[in-house]
Amino acid sequence: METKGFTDQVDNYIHHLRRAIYQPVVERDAGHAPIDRRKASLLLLPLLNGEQWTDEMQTAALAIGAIHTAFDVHDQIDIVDASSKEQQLMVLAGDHFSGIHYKLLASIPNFHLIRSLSVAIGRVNECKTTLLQAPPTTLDERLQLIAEVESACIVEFFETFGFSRYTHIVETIFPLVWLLDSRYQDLNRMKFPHLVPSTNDTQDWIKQLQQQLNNRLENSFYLHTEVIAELQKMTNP
Amino acid sequence: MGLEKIKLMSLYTDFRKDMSYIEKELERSVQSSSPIVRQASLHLLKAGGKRIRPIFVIMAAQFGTYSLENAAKIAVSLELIHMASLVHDDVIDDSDMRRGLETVKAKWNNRVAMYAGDFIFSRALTSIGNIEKAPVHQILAETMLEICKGEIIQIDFQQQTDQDLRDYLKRIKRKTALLLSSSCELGALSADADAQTVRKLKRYGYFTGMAFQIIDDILDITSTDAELGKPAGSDLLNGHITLPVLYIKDDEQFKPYMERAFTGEMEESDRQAMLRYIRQSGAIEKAQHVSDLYLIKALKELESLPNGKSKKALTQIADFIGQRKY
Repeated sequence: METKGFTDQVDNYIHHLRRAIYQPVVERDAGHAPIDRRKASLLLLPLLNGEQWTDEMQTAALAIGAIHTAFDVHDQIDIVDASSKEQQLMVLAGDHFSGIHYKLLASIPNFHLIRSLSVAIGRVNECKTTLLQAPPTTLDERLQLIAEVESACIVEFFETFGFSRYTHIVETIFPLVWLLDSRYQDLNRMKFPHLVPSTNDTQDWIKQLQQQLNNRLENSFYLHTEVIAELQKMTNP
Repeated sequence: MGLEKIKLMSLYTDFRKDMSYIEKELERSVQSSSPIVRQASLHLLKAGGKRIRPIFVIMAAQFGTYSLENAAKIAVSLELIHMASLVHDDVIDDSDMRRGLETVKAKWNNRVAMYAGDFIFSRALTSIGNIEKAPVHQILAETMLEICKGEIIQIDFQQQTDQDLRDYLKRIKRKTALLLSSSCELGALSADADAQTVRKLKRYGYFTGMAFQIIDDILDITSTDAELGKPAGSDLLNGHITLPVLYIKDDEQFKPYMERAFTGEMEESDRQAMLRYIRQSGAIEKAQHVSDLYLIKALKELESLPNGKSKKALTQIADFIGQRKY
């Protein structure tokens, strides 16, 4: 698939996700919901790689996008003071997006995914609480938790629809991009800024994870060259 | 346990075993590998609550082919959704106390409250996910979205005094009545009750829920801080105009109180004076009358349902709601 096709498919998905989660008051007073394009691309990896993509998968993928957006909005709630109208609306916007995720799954209806995803959502929140309040001492353990927070719902989606072979790719990419963000982005705009390691450690881990990812990509014979190129672009800013 | 809760619990006598099973299931549902999430979830669970949603599910399910296992999955789910919303509401309202205990956000922080609420919500879906009936999920999903929409509108309406009765009723419908209505509807559906019975129970839940919230709003003004477990008048201090306030908001002598409540410039003696003013204004009685009208409608829905312990208990609960003191 060409890069333009790749971009169009992700754009198209984000457009549909925006429509699905639209809430006029929230949009007016708290602005556009933050949709993580990178996460959307990884969720759509099987589609982008040319796998058969049914309407059920599309609806389920939108549900995953809605819950991801809910997580991201709730991550922006101020730890001490959420009394402004914007923050209050963000609490509710996250709840609204959670509700949309459930509504989408109920519309299929996919009971298995409702159950398995709910377990993943629970786990994500357990991991986020641990990372916030009692983070593990080693970076290795921290990166594992970050990988789980970011990939758990996508992994459930892959497992449900027979795309398990893509799981190891997303599980490697998420901690890698988190480390890359810590080098290239404003810390205030990234998740878990308090866990960012020293520059030397970051560099070592980036090298290690990039190597791991490259090995995995090389062994993933089913991945189209263009998809590999996109993934490498994502992890080599 | 408060006297009022004991009174309510006495109405559950015939369902004590079932409610005890649900209580255990609730506790089991919020177990977590994260000690903080577990403590935060159990913190609210142990603080109690009237468990009115679970009891409505159980009682409504009696009108069909009753299965405790099925009804419990729905009952647990609805109570957890309610709990999750309370944890998030405390962040929105910046509340430090609930049911006489520190809130999750006060005991830990806002972010832990967000995660704990989301965790509890996930457990609600795990519980109801075991019911493989599409309408059950579609109804619950719609209910959740409507509740959320109601809260968003409430924020939008905060401190706006140009509200009327219709605005208020729409708001409390979403805030409270819908979940109680769905409790009855889903309980009956889980037991495959016939369509007409489901409809009547749904309407009973709705009317009871409207009355319940009106009484809650009255109690926010008429109860003491100790009875409420939070400062009386909190609704107004948070910028929410409830039914008694709606009746008095245009009173020239009351307006300055309202302005000070909204701007946070209210001293303790001022708050007490404001509460006394509302109590003596006749607004409480007017609000109580509206609640009574809803309860009459609720009881009417029950009339044609078969007699039995469930119908009797639902009737008593409606009566209790009309008379509860806190």
